[in-house]
Formats: sequence, C-alpha cells, structure tokens
Amino acid sequence: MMLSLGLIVLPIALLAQRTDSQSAAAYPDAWPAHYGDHSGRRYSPLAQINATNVKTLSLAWIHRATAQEGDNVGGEYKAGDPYYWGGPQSTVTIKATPLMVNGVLYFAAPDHAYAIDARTGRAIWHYFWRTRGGIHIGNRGVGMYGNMLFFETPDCYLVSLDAATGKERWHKEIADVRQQYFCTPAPIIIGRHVIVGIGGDSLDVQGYLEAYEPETGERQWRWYTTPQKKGESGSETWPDEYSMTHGGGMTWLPPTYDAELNLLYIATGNPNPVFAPQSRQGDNLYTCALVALNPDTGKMAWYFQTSPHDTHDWDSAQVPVLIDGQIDGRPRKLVAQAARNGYYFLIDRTNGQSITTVPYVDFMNWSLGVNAKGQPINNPAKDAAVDGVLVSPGSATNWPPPSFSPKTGLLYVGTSQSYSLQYLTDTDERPEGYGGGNVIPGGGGREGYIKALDYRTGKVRWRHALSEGGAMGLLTTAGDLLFGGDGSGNFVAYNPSTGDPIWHAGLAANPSNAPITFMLDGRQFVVVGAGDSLYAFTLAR
Amino acid sequence: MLRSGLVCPAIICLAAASVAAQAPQGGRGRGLDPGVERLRAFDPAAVERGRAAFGEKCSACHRANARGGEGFTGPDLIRSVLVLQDANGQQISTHLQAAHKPTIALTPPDTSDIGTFLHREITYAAERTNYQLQFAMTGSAKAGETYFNGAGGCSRCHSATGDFKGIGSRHDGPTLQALIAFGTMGGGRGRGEPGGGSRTARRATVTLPSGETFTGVLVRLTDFDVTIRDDVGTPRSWLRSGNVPKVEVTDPLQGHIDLLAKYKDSDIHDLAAYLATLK
Repeated sequence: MMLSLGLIVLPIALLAQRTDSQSAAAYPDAWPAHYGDHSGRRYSPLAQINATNVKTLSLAWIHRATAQEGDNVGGEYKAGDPYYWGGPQSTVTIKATPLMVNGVLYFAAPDHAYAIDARTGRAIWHYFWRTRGGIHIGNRGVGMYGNMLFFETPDCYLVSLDAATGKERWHKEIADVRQQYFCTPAPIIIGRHVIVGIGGDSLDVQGYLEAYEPETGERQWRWYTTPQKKGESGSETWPDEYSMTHGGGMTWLPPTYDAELNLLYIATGNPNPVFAPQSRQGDNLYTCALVALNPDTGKMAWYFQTSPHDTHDWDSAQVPVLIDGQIDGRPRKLVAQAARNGYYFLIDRTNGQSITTVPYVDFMNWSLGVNAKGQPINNPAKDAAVDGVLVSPGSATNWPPPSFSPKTGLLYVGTSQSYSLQYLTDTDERPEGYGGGNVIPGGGGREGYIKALDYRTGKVRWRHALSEGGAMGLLTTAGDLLFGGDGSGNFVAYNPSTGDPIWHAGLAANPSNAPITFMLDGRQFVVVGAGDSLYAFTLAR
Repeated sequence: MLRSGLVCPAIICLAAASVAAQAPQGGRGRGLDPGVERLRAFDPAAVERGRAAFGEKCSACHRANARGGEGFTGPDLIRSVLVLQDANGQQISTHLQAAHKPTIALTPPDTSDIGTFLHREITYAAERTNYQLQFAMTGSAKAGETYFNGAGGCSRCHSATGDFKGIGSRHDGPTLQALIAFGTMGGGRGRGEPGGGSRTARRATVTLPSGETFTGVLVRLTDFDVTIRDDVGTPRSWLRSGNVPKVEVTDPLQGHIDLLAKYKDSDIHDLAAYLATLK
C-alpha cells in the first residue's frame, strides 16, 4: 500500500520541484501548466474515463469560489484612492484553467487566487488582492514553478505566492492601470522565465510580452508587439512613430512553446485605434500576428500576420496549437490556429511559412481572399462606416481554447457563424480608442457549432450544432472523448469522431473555463468551471 | 465638432467591451454599464466650462479636441500619460501652474474645469459602449421600397400600412438597420420591435413517440431536453434522446437570417431609407 502510494506520489512530488516546460509533458497524471503541457493541444493521454464507461461518469464534488476577502490579503490600493477603469467585484466567474499538482488545484479569478484539495474540493487557502481598478473581465489562471505560484491582477500586477500557504512572496507592477491596461493572462513558465502578457485596447496603448525571474521577480526582458522607432523591423507598416507606439497589439492569451526549437508562440491582439484605421495605414506589424520568440532573450525568430491591417477587432488571441504531423508524407513541426477572423491557419513552426489558409466558417465577407503568403486580404469596403456595414463573421471564435487529438488528427473548435453591423463613430484624423463598434444580433444570425477540422487541410470533417453559444473551452482524451459545453448549461462528452453527445451533466451555469483532467489515487477526474463553481467528475464505483 | 452625447440610441448600443475584445464564455448578466456610470459622474456644466476654457487657452497648440496632430505644436492630451495618471485634477493643476511651457495664465477654477473636460474626453474614448453614432441616411428610399416588395421578400411578413405603419417615426436609422438585419436587437430592452420576433419567440411542435403533439413557445432546446410554454402558459418539458421526441422549430426571424449572407450593404441602407419614410 505504501509502495503504491509512493509510486503515485513521487513523480508528482518531483514535479512540484520543477513545474516547467520540460516536466510538464512528462507527468500526464497532473495538469501542471495552463494547457496541460505547453503544446496548446489540450489532449490528455489518460483513458480510464473512456467512450465505453463515460455514461457512469458521476459528480465527485462541487467547489464554490468565494468573492470575499481571503486568508491572505495584498494589493496596492490605498483607502481614499480612486478606482481606475473598474473596481472590486462582488461575484466570481471562473474562466481560469486550474493547475493540478501534487493533489492540489490552483486557480484564479480577478483579484483572487485559490488552492483547493483536488480529491475533495475543500478549500486550502485563498488569496485576495485589493485592486486599484482595471476591467475585471476574467483571469485565465496561475503559473507554477516549484513551490511558487504566479498570477496577474486586473490592475496589472504580477503576484507570486507560496503554493503551500498562499502567502505573498512579492508583487510587481507590469503595466499602468491608469493608462487603461488590464491584465487577464495566465503566466507561462519556461525554464527560469515567468512569461507574462498584458491586455487593454481601449486607449491606444502599446502591447508587450515580458519575462520575469521566478525567485526574485526581476524583469528579464520585454518584447514590444509594435516597433518603437522608424527604421526598426516592421516600422515600414506604420505611418509614423506616433501611430506605432499607440498601436495596441495586446498579449492577453498565454503562449505555447516548443522545447526542442526553444521557441515561444505568442498570438497578438488587434491594432489600435480598433475600428477607425485612418491614422494607421499599413499592415500594422506585429499586431494580429503569430510570433515566435526566443524565451531566453525575447528576440523574435519569425512572424506570420493572420490579419494584416485588422479593422474588425479580430485580435489573433486564439491558441497557437503545436502539432507534430505529416504533410505530403513528411513529418513536420506545425502550428495551427483557428482564428477569430474565421480562417484556419497551418504554419511551419520552424520558420513561419504558411502551409494552409482556409475559412472554417460557412460565410465570410470581410476578406478579398488570401495572398501569396497565405495571409487574408482585408476588404476595405467592409471597414466600419458611418452608415454601417454588415460584417461576417462577427466573431468566429475567441479565447476559449480548442483541442487537438493526435488520435483523430482533428482540431476541435467552438465557433459561431455570426454577423455584426459595424459603425465608424470617430472620423477624426486622429481617432482614439475603438473609434467605432459592433451592433450584434439579439436573435438570429449567430448560429453556433463545434467543428472538427482536419489539421492538414482545415476542412470541416464534422459539425455539431449548438442551441446557444459558440466559442468554448475543449478537452480531448485518449479515452476517445471530447469534453465541452453546449451553450445551454450542460457539460458534455462528445464522440470525437462524429460529434455525437454521449454523456452530459446539467450545471448551474454554462461552463465558463476549459475542462482539465488528471489522475489521483488511481482515479481519473475531469474538472470544469461554470460560473462561480468548479465541478469534478469521476467514474462511479 | 466634439461629441457631446453620453449614450447611444436606446436599442443601438455598441457591443460591450467584453463582447468585442475578450468575449465571455457562457452566459453573462450585465447591469448598468459601468462606463455609463463613469460618464454620468462628470458634471456637465464643468465639462462645458472646461471645453470653453480649453478652446480659448489651449486649442491653438493642442487642437480643440485636445488630440493635437498635423499643424499643432502641443501633444495629444487624450493619450497623455500625465493626464491619464492624474487623480482628481491634481497633477494637471500642478503641471499647468508650475511646469507647463509656455507658461499659461489660468485661474484655479479654469484649471479644474479643463481637467474635468480632459478626463471626460478620455473616458468617452475609452468607454466604447457609449459611443454616439454619427449615422446619416445614405440609402435610396425608392430602391428600398423595391427591395422590400421584391428581392428581399419583406412584404411576405411585413406591411407598410400594417405593422410598419409609423415605423419611421418610432425608430432612428441605426435602429431600423439593426431591425432589418437581425429582426431584433438584444430583445427585452423595452422598445417595440416590428415583426414581433425575438429569439425566445421561436415556436416548437413536440411530437411524442405515441404521436401526441404539443405546440408552444420554445423556451429551451438542447440535445438532451426540450421545454415549451404552451398557449395557456404552462411550461412543459421532455428529455430527449437523439431525435425522440421529435422537435420542429419555426423561427419568425428565419426570413431575416436567410438574408444575412445575401445582403449588399446598400440593400440595408436602402431599406432603412424606405422604412424611415413610413411615418
């Protein structure tokens, strides 16, 4: 008994010593990194829960996260200070992907970090951050290195906690909330680098990605998503220095990483001003792009812009999924992205060369096609206009992560064939902020699906219609299961080969994060967040 | 001209920041938009005094809208870090009194009002749910009437002398365009909606294996269950397995949905121009 316990616990205990890129993929029983490993595939080799027995999948526990002040409190807010662009929230919505290491689940929400017992769902500790402000739209989770945790706050501090106690180790300001930055990403740990992104596209600030030393919190490098001076690479795609240094390109989606190539893949956000491009003619590099960076130096290895001169708030903040596949019979290192602009991109991740660019939505009117580099060509007739233009897709997908199963060769994505009327509201020669916006349907015109794309061609192999919703977090397993939602409050296991639902559980809210899976004491668990609660399922015994 | 409106038309509200940029996953309730609250917190009189003082003392260098640009020597103050980092006008006041070059003669009340004006302009730029549309009708009413009665098929469900009588008096142009495109705009916001359609007004007929049928307003339909509210208001639900029981849905907005991939923008502009004539 002791021996078997030791065998189970030992690797995870080792893992806790070094929860970084090299160890993440080596411990499939845990969920030690944001995407499980750093590939972005969100595929688990666990198969105890499988297509044969999933109908006996049963509730193990529910944990309801509190929005009250926790055991440990931090923050830079001082009594009497104003709140900048947002304030404390009275409720919690769990959008974070939890980590599961050594029997403990670690997750976060805006201003909160939590540790709970993964076996029972009982609270271990709770850390509360007194905010100075920032948009409290969500938090994608924590990063872990050894016994150190890292998470970001809406007012843009990087906070490091002791994983055992939830006590604060240090915090650093990573962006200025007063300039309307707000921070949602989960830090990603690569070697001795805590990789940290930022958000905030309301006031034409500039995007960057940073790395911090985990022990000391010292900043190691910063990579700006736009050039800083004329003459720098990419500056030829902006009219002037003023536009490029106010050009946006946020880094609000956690990157993926290839340890062999030692390249980090970051998908950058939309340029600013968002819908009013008259002051930023050009392609606006490196916004709306997939960029490969060296995590030790922050230097760019290559880029591929998925929406040159974006005028529709496409962002490109969708997961760059690393696939080791076969193209024309040859093994290739690939990166795939189902983007919000409705295109599926398949790229050689060693050099950024396009292999396939193809729409995965049924109808698209904002693009004139694809150029020789595999990039979409913006249709200027569909740029936001004072009298309105009808644009489709309105938003083909968003940050909720897709999943790729090497067993089926399919990339699964929650998507919406949506439309929006886009209006230009700021006709000034120097527009500010969004400068326009969407009017979106309250009724028809936003049909949602889970689609399964052949990773080589982007062709839709199957689709499953959703009664509501579209973008959703997905998980595939070696048990021939695809876990996701249905937009109507159900957590569902689908057949990954056909899209047929084969198990479901009705939750108190729609799944609001991406599900994870892990093994503890010989039992596989699947955990999903919905509203303010985490739900854990395991096979009935 | 500077934008002075605080809120967009009642039904036409630009998609929330969260929807546009980092869309929530799953349902999300929304109370009064915090951006509306932030804009309403500015004293309109102080903003206007500040705008006037700025126009008199500052606009020669910074432009009347404070954005600077070609031909102006002063910086853009909407993106100014000093202004953005200002709390309650204190840093702006200190800067104007002690550090601004060239020196500028401003009374303390003027300084305070200018600070209020600048913060209001910044807040307006940042709070995109409150942008005021500058819509101007560009379509042809005659072409819209032709489309309405012809290619659009609108007259199959709507009538200029029936449900659309007076619609041009009830709605502004952007609202008309949203109703044309989507049939409804975020239903339940309290404005009349032509065609009576909203997502919840879909109707369903449920046919049990026995052949018994039930018809009503569709409340919920998933792969696993269906709920309707029958014509006397009673909710009824059934579990589903595959296509049993059979559920047939009719959507009063189907005509709108079918047109979405067919519209030219000019069709929508023309239809709006036509509907605007139905007073």
